[in-house]
Amino acid sequence: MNEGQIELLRGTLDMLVLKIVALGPSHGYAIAQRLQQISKDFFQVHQGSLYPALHRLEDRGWLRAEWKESETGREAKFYSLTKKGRRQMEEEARNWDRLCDAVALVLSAQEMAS
Amino acid sequence: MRWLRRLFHKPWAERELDQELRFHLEQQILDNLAADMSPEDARRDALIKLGGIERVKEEVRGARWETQLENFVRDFRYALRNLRNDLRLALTAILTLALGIGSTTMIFSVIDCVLLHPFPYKSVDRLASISVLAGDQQRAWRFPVAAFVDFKEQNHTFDDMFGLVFGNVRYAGADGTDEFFGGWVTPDAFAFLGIKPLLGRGITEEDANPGSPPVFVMSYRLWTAQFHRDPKILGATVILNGTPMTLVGIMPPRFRFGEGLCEVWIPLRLARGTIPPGSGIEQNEVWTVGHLKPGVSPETAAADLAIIGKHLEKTYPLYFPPDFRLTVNGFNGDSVEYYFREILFVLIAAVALLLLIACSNVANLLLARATTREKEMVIRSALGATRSRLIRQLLVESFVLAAAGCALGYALARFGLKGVVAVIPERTVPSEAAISLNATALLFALIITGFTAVVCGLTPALYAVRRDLQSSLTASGKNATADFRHGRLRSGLVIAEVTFSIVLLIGSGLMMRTLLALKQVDVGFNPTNVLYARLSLPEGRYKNVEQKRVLTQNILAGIERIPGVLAAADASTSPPYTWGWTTVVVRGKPQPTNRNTAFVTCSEGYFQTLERHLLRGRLLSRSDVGDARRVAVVNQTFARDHFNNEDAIGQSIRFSDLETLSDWPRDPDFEIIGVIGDAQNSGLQEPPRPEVYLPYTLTADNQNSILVRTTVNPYSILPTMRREVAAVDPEIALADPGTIERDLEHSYYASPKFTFVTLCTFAAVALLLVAVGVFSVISYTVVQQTHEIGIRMALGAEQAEILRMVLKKGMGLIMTGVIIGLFASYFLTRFLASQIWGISPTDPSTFGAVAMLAILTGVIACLLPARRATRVDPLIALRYE
Repeated sequence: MNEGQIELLRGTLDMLVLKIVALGPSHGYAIAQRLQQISKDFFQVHQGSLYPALHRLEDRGWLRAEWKESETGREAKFYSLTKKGRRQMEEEARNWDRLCDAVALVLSAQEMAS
Repeated sequence: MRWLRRLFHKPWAERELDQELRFHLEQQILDNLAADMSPEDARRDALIKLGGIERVKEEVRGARWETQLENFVRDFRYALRNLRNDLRLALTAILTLALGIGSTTMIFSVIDCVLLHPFPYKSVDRLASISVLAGDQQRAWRFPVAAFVDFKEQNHTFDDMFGLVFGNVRYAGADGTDEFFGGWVTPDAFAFLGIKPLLGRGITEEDANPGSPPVFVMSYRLWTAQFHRDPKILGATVILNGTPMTLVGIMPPRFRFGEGLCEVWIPLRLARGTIPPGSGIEQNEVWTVGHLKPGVSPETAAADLAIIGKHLEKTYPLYFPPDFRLTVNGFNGDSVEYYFREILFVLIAAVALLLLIACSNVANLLLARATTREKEMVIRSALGATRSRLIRQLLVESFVLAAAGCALGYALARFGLKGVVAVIPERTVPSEAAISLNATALLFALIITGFTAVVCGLTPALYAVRRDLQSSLTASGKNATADFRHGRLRSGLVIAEVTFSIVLLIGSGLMMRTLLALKQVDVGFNPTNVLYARLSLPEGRYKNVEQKRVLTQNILAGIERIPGVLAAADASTSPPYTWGWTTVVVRGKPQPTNRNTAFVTCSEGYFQTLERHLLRGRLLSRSDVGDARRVAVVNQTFARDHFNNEDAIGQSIRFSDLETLSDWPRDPDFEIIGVIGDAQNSGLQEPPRPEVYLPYTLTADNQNSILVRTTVNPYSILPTMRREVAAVDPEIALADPGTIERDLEHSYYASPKFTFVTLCTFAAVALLLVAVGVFSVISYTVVQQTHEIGIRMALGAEQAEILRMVLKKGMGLIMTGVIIGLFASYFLTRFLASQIWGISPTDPSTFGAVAMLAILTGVIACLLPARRATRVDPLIALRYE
């Protein structure tokens, strides 16, 4: 593990995946690539752990999957966001913001005290 | 549907997953190749980045729901296999849960059917009746027609109102006249109640129009009793109260509109000044039922009607006294006798306790089992089972047990409910109520089952997985007896069981004492084989004393001729309750202010019919009655109250408030001719009050009730009696026959008997469960301590010593439970106080007896495993290691 990489918080992966899929339907490999690009190699995500997450999100009805031709002409499983998934993503993003604010508040309070 | 397809087409799902991952790998390899890697490196790097195809596949499978389902099915099968291996435990647990779930479901369904949904009528939650209170007393629940019309026309809170006038209906049949209760209803009532008739049609608006042919509908009960369910009588014309009427409909059994009293319903339009034809009641009183507007509370409606009531105050001061309060009583909730509602609440608490006992018993059994399965759990978790997986597996086991318990319990409830219904006292629940196990009860049973499964299963499951894996693996499973927390939990459960059972036992013990106390009350007369009935006389005839005397003498003479009749009498009232009250003035003594003296007008045969005991003087003679002499027989309490130590015989008394009775003698002095022993006259629970017995020939206003003492079953002479009465006058009906014995049973014994029988059953079951619980816990302890016992015996401990050791442990638990239970009961029996009579709710002897019973049961339950402990062979016990 490289210095500066942190393990994803539980449940954060789901939010990120939803966010990426929201940009447009994509297959697993593309999601993995984009996850790495967007997070600028900051998060360490095993590509392997992406697939259980994708299947779980599909089970919950947040993602819809269909087989389509990929850019290379091969059949690939494309995931896209459902309405329910979009609501969930917004909800999680809001929670995330709230968490960040709270953490920031705690940290700044400590500074003032010291 | 993709997810459904996945479940049934596993290979398809696998293939799809395989393709998806393969695509991923190929893309990565392509990208790697593009980044100038060698083909081998590209492939290796792609595989490393993905983390191994098989591992990813396994993780994906774990994330999918159908795998969860599979796990569940596997857990279920595993649970079944496990329980089959330990059949004795499984059966004990199932039976225990069945008793708990069954009794709870049973009492719940009584409450549901009786308190929550007793009426079959349409939108019954908005039906309400009106009554008026003055002070604490109910003043009126029926109102003059004018008040009804005012209520109906001027209210703002009811959709509509309909009314019912109660009255006697005399029916002229082929063999004499019969009488029953009927209701004259406003014609919209049937549409409101929305009940489809069993046969024919209900009453419609047109039926009440002037000039339409007179019609009526009949109750299922009357149809059965009088017409043997003959469908051909529909459309027949019969004479009711002298008017020919056509029977147009027969109502279903649960239609008992009109407080369950009416057997026929006759249409009647109520407008100002209407008088129901021949209803036989002077005051035209209407039982007023309204249909509340949506969202209107009874309180709001009561306030609304109270304004109308204020205007009626002047016209009807009898119904609306100055301090009147008007109440609107919803049909649901207010229709069950208050005391019975209390009993039901006590019972639901009792079965809840029983359920808790059952749960803790099963929890204990499972805990004991969890301990012996420690190694299994440890191995399973070492092999990679997660904690939640283990807990789930154990919970599935308890769900399987609870589900089996639920099925058996539901069957028990079905069976037990028949018994409960059979002992419910009459007239305490609305006649419309039909008590049965319905869908609500089933739902309730299922919820209870879920609850028990979690309660029974969770503690052992949590316990099983919380243990430190390492220490369990290294220690010998059976030897790890030192887990304090665990032992304490099981002991605590046993103590709780004993406590609950003590509470239940004391409750039923107190009810038994109440019942015995009531049965031991000396009623002062012989209540067996006494039949009573009221003579319902045709209107217009038998108006004066002389006509009535001749009639009564003829009828009594006819009845006395019937074989099996010992004596017969005319009496205004039948014990143990006297309905007439008066004020007695003794010459030369201060005038009392309250009507505290019961008075009975009777014929000379009264004392012999009831087998009353003469103490001094003489009884009423034939000529006393025939000549209407002003003489009185008094009871002992009367003689003591008014004449203390003097002799009452020959004293002269007056009644200050009887002059309003028709034909009452102008000269008011009565001579006391005899004193008889007391008999109950205010019910069984109150001491007898002063009472006087006068000749019935003094007034034409008497009630004309007949009392008959028989040597045979009193009801068997009823047909002959009807014939004798019809022989005197075919238009006289013998109404409301009954026996004093049945009255005593229904009014006084039935309700404590109900409480006793139900509580006692639950207490007995509780005691049985406690015995099972103590037995299983002590057995388990003995098994766990086999090693220790073996060492002790090898070191020379006597058998008696071992016995003492085991008994001490068991009895410690039981005694603790008994003491807590006694304390709890001391505070809890007050909820039963209104049912208890004749003893204190904290009666020491009941408490003592119950404690003894519980201790005895505990000793027996401990003794069996203790004896087994003494037979431990030290050699085998030590080799066990």
